[in-house]
Amino acid sequence: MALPENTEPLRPLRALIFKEWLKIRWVLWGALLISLGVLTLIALEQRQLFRNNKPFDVWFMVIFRRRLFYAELRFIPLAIGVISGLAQFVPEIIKKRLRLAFHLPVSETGLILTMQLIGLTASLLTSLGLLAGLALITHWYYPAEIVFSAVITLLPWLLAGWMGYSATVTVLIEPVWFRRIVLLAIYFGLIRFFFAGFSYGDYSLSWGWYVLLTLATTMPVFLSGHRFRRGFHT
Amino acid sequence: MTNAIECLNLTHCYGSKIVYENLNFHVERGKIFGILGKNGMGKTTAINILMGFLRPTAGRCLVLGEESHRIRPETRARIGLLHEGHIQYDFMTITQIERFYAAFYPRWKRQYYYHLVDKLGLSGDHKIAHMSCGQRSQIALGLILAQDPDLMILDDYSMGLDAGYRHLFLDFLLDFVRTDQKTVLMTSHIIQDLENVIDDAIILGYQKLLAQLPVSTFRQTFHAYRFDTPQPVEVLRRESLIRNIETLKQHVTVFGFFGVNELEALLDKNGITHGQITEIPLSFEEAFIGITGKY
Repeated sequence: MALPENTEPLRPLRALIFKEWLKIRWVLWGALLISLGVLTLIALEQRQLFRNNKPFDVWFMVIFRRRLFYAELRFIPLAIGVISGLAQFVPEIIKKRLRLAFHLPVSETGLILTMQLIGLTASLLTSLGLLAGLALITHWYYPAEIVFSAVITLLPWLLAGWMGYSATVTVLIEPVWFRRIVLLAIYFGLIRFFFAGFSYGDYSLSWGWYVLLTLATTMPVFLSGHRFRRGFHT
Repeated sequence: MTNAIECLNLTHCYGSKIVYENLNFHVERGKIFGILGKNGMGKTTAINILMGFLRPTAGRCLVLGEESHRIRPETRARIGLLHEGHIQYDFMTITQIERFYAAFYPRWKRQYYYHLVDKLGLSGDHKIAHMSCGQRSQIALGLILAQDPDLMILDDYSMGLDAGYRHLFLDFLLDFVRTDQKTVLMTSHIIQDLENVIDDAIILGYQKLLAQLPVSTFRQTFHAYRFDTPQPVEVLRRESLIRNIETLKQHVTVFGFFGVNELEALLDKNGITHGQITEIPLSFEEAFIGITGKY
């Protein structure tokens, strides 16, 4: 005998995914379009470069002069992360609408975790799309070593996108303005680390630490969420 | 346990500003309870405390037997909460929002929602953001009714509603509550609508409880009397029986839980000469203004 409709355990999760999807779907379509546009631009530039220059000259420019041919991608993941966070949580903090979610019969931590994971997954998917697109273009024109180098170079920028998302959400749901400003300053300082280098593989030896740092900075959202839930005003 | 809500020695402050001190009240199961008071007297604060969105400075509140700041998810499923301003997910449509909430509540009754919402005559893909305040109130109430809660907490259900929607809201609410013996705690700034709705009430004043009693008792025992006197009457404010005094030139109106004989005795005791004392019939709203004051 089939279970009654309401006993299906994944229904609340699916409902939450649906709600978050309604808020961020346009951002994701926009991110996809912008990413495709920039990747197309990079591909066209490379085609032009190889048409107008001899292979040795291209090699000289790209490898010896260390000119990043995909620098346009630098801030795109960060922008996607921040805009996703805004699209997802601005509607929640207007009129303190997040209280609706906190009244749902689910655990507070589970709710925040689910909402955050949905945003991070959306950010991750767009980032992976960007990474795959760049790898494909690079592979078309350059040897495997350059493809690997491109992926390693892009990684911290993608992580910055995740951190930008966490920063946006944490700052938005923190109920006290002073704390918001402090959090913003801290996250701004941390995100700057991800853009300190501007050359091939600048983070190739330390990217593990950057992953850990990014994961660590997803934690404060729980504290801000708890403070919002309990109505802290100091 | 017969009480759905119990607040014991509840004290709350915003910084140095005291909202109330040692407030005690309880809501019996199956009753409709009103928290009444003028703007800024802490009605919404009380609801935020009850729903765990604020932790009281001191004292405690029990909601369906659980500490208000530690209500378990299973118990939250039994509480229908209407936020001030009928706040809902206005990026959703009529159909989407019903499907969303249905996933969380085991006793969900979608027919309650559609019974109310169908009266709006809107299509299912109509976005809540594009609705009037009155229409949004029907959506919010329909969602709470479909949840089939044991306890409903309604924060200023009347905000932004015209008379028609206010009455529609109350008609549906009363039908639901009286049929299934639900408990309701509600606040509103439109007092006259509540006279025939609420059973018991507390009336909040500035940092204190002005009254806690059944509405019928309030209507029967709270009186207003008018008389003329050339003397100042401020001395009467010290008398515990007198709850409020209004003066206009030599005309004086006093309000309180007393009869005309007790008033005459008080006037004599304070040496106030006066003309004939006339009792003024009070509507529920006038009695409310009488106890809370106009300012």
